[in-house]
Amino acid sequence: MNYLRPELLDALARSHALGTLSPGAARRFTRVVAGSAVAAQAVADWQGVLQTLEQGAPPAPEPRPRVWEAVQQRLFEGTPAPAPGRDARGRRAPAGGLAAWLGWPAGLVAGALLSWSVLVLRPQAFDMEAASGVAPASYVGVLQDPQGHALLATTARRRGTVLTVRLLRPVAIEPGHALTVWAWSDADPTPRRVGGWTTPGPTSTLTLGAPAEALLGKMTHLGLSNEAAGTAPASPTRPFLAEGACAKVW
Amino acid sequence: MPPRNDPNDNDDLARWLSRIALGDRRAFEQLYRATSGALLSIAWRVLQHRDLAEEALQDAFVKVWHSAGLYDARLGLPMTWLINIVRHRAIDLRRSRSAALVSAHGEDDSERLAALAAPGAGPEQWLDTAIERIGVQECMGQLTPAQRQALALVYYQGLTHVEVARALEAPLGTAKAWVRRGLEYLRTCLQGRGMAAS
Repeated sequence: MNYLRPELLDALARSHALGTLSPGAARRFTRVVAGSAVAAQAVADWQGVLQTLEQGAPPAPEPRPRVWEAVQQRLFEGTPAPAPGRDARGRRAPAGGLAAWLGWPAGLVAGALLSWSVLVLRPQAFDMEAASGVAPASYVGVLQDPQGHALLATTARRRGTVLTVRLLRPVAIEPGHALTVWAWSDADPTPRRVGGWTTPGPTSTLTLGAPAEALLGKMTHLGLSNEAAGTAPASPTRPFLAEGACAKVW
Repeated sequence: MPPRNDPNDNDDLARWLSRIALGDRRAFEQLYRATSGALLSIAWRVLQHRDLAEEALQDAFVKVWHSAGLYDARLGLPMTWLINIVRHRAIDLRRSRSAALVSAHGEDDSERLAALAAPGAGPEQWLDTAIERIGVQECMGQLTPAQRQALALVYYQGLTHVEVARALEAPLGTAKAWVRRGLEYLRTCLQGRGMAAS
């Protein structure tokens, strides 16, 4: 489909700015916009038209202080003051090392790398799939509960289609519910469902719909939630049971 | 605490965004203080629920921190860019949590939609006020009441075309045409006043 045909582009840009495209169509068109100055301008022009409607909208009370506190907590807790110098795409300069390049909090990176070393060198320590003779796990996550206790470890090989999950502390799975893993990125904080499981026991494997590289390559965070079994919810039940960094180790 | 700035002061907003792209937390706080009230009202309008609106605002500012380097002043005003981020996040939340919203309102969905579409209800009033303030009453007066209502419901409250069709008891294709026609009229009216790109 030629998205840049003027009539089609105008219609898509209008719907995109308005927010009426289906999620799939919106994702496809977002990719078009990212690669085309003409498409980006078409969307921006419609956004400018729509913004005029804000002049009629009523004001709302100020956000409560906890909103700003939560923003700061999500972005900066446990990290040093941001080093000056980011490139044009908004990433931090490499002075902070791997964490700075990848935009992860340093503590989470250290934890993820430590976990990776244990998972790769001694997978039996977590009763997880050994990686002998094949590539070691590439994507590793260690998710912590709100009290800061490690609750779930996840591993996947880069081109593998299985995500191995290991509960590090007991979590009761209620009848009719599934523990569900979500992933999202710093650039797009909308969580995407990775998969869920209903079987009790410390270790389970989730079959991925595509190689881990395709699903997790751009993701920087993982979350664990409890969802109704047999459904594929579009968004997680919050707060998450646990959250952590999605580390790409190699 | 820095003093609040006029959210329409786009020069300040553009400067802060460029600083945020360099990792400047103080600029980030200034941007938040200047715009969070106005942006919360957008999320609140869509979600009609304070907690969810604040969640959308929180997500949006996390995205602003990570994406500030992507703001391109050649394409539009910084406030337009910020509004778009918040409004889309609120719409995503609204659609994923429609069941919870219905529960919070204690009504079934059809009653809630009908209330939104009632003559003189919020969205229609807001559209009338905007049209008056922009000064395009005469031009926009050519729209039918249904076209105005459809446009107001989609823009101010993030309804889908399907929900608009149900709220206004019209076929889906008709509802889509109403929204499209309303927007095209708005653009034409703004172009006539030199307020939109031709």
